[in-house]
Amino acid sequence: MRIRILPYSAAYDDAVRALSARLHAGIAGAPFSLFSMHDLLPKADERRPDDEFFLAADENQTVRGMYILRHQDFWIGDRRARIAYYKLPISEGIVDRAYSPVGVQLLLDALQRQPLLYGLGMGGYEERLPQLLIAAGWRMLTVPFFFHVVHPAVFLRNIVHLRRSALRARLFDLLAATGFGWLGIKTLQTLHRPLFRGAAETSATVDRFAEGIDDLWETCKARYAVCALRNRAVLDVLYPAANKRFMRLEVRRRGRLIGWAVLLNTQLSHHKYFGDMRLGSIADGLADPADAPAVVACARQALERAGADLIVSNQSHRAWQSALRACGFLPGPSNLLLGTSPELTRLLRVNGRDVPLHEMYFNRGDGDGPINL
Amino acid sequence: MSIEERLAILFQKVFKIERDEFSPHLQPEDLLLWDSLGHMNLVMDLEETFDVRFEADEITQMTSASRIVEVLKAKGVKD
Repeated sequence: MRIRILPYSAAYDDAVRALSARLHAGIAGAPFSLFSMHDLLPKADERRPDDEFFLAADENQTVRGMYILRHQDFWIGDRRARIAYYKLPISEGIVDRAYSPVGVQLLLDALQRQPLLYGLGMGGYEERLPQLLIAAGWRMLTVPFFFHVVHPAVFLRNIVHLRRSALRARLFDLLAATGFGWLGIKTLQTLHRPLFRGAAETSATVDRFAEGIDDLWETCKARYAVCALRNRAVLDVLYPAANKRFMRLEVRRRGRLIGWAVLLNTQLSHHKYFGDMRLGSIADGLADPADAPAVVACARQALERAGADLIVSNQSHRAWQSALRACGFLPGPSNLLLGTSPELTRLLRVNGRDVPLHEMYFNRGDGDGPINL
Repeated sequence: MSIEERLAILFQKVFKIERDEFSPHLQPEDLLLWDSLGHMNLVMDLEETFDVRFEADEITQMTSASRIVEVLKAKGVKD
């Protein structure tokens, strides 16, 4: 078996569909969307200019796997660096062991094209991809998760993840019905840390971020050891004005732009963790670390006004974690993993010391972007 | 020690098999742990044991124990 990795071309669309069908057939109960053509080859309007698609094809032009390199500029230390997100690697090896080597071939091919790779998300340590990356010498870290319950009764009735037994479900229903749940959750969120009360900040949602975003980026970038480029041009690609799902929030103090956030407010239906809640999320943002509490407070208020039942956020940097705590968020279990290739890990080493996660700036805006929120 | 004997030891370690279960004909379909993760572990151990670096296309040629021996020999590893 000789398999070559090739740049994607439309001539392979039928072969990709055939791969998708074989993956479906091979995994009983797999969510169909996981391997749909849509997911394997995103629609033209979802593709980013810096995405490169690669296929693993055998001698018969049968596609056995694929992956995407999403090239991005990052600010690392005191300079700009081009690195890439290792996106959606799929190998037929997951359904046919004869192709077990393909997953490794995809990874090595990606590393040969761009040694500075990162992965984000991946579903937790028990999943195959992070295990593979760890075996390949990647550094793997967990990006902390925080949540704030706005409507305790709705939360208690819908938090599928915590209602796994009939007894627990009945208990949660009882707490929701009697008001004890409301009292307990509100008390916990208030006592956990004193609430941040920003007085001087104002915020507004906009269709497109203001030009001052670029100045903010220039001011803030050096305040983080690692941060993906977040200037206006990048944000226009990540959060295009035409996409009405994104709430773009600008936060000002005495008229001066001090930060921004991208929020989502999604009505869920039968979600595997959050049931039928309206899920608010602070997906992305930027500010000087000292101003993170003001941005989080404004984001929380905006989502509360928009009717969110629960607000969630993943943040790697300690200033943003502290800001979330100060605004009444509680830490919860996280399955958002950040993996860095050996070469990128070396780049992120200063004086022989790995830059700790809490000095890097990663959130749901990185990697795939907030597609699952 | 021959390449095959050293490979048998690696298979024991990576795929948790007994020495007498090893055969040159073993393929991924034959061993529970020879999935993509197992293959990665095998490649990493091969590189360390035989002091070689594999190219991506060599990785997919390693579809059986005997093919791995061939790849190693092609890279100049001697018995």
